[in-house]
Amino acid sequence: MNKTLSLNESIFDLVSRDPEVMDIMLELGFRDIAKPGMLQTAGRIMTLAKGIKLKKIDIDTVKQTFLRHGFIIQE
Amino acid sequence: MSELINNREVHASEQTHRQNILKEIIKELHAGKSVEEVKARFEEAVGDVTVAEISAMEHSLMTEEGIPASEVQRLCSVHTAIFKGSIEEIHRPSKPEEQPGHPVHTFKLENREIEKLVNFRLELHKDKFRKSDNEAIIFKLLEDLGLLLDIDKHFSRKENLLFPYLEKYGIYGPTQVMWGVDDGIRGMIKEAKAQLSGYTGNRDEVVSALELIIKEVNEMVFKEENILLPMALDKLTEDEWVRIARESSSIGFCLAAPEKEWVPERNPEPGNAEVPETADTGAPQGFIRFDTGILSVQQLELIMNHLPVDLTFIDENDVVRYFSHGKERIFARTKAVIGRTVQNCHPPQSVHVVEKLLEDFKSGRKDAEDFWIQIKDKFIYIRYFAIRDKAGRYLGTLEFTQNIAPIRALEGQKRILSE
Repeated sequence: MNKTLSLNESIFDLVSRDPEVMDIMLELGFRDIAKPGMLQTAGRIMTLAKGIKLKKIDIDTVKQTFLRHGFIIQE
Repeated sequence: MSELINNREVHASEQTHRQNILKEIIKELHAGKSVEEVKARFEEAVGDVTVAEISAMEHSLMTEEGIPASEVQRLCSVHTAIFKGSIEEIHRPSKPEEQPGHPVHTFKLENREIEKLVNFRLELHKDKFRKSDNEAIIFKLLEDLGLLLDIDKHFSRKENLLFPYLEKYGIYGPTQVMWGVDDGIRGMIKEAKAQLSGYTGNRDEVVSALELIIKEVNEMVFKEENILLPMALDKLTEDEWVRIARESSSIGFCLAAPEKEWVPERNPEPGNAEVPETADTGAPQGFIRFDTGILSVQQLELIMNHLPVDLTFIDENDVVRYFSHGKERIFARTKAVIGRTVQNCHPPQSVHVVEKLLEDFKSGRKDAEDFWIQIKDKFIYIRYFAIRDKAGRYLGTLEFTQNIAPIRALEGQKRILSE
């Protein structure tokens, strides 16, 4: 059963709902999110969409990586 | 001596109150009163109202009062008839951060100029340089980088004015990380300038250094506008923004400056129209008795500010308690640092030096430490003294900074008055 994620939800919400999201994001290269305090603060403002734009990560790579872990990303 | 009011809270409670009145009025309408009847009451009770308030009220009518959505929709036309005049009369910009002079507005204004500089000028000159590394283009690049160095002021305001407030709200991680990146960018710009002024034909190296600068600066703009500033807007009170705006000019601006002073629209609160210059305007008029004399507070303050040195004092808990405010401070200090720990006032990269020094002072291993650095035409002598009471107990550290270039330049002697 696939879980769905929204690009425009805050990272904080995404990770609170499913801690696995954090690991996937780390795998994708979002290193800052693991730094202390980041999730609680910047993570509340940051969305997956902004992160992808900031890190210039290919959206398809993101989608595929999430898919591999059983998540579907809605645009 | 009124403490500054937290406008955000005042505003919130007022809104709920207004909404309650609005709801009552709508319910009266619902119960069959005429538009004219409630209109008068509405104007008297509420004054003007925002569209957001109406929709919030309509929402709570549906959820809390159980009035069906279709019913609320039917009432919509009536709402409009009542609210029309007042909604149209509101011309207040909905977001204070969009008003010129608001610190967020200024940060964004600067960011637009920074973007122009790196994405157009620097980018263009870099491409030209890649094709032909002649002297003219090197000069252009040096000029661009010189302008870009001004980003230091933008960063400094962020680090010294905005971060302290975020730290007050428990936000440390992101600010520390960002400060580190800021320092990285400062370093990169200086490094690239050095490479270009002593250009040795290492063209690819310079190009990739420039490309890195462009990339990092753009990312920082993005991070500020998409994360930092929204987060700050979420946390800080209006009064805190006012204080930041007030202190901004002591650090300066980068490539663009606010066109006017930001005066937030206040809730009509008698006597609170103007924020006092400092929270303690009614400073004690008393005198301080020393072992060796008596001074008024005013005299003492003036003396401190007339000393040709910059003083900063941190207490035994490493909290910044005081700094003198002479005419030409060598290192910018703003009131926002008061009450912060000194560790949070230094770039993360140099914190360990500060820590080590304080440790030596506290343990009694050292009583003083001096540094001296040459910055342009200034020769800066920075001295740190452990402050101890008569029993030798550590009570804090005094930082004593002085430009000794004019002193070092003295020669011979001078025994008569200048004309």
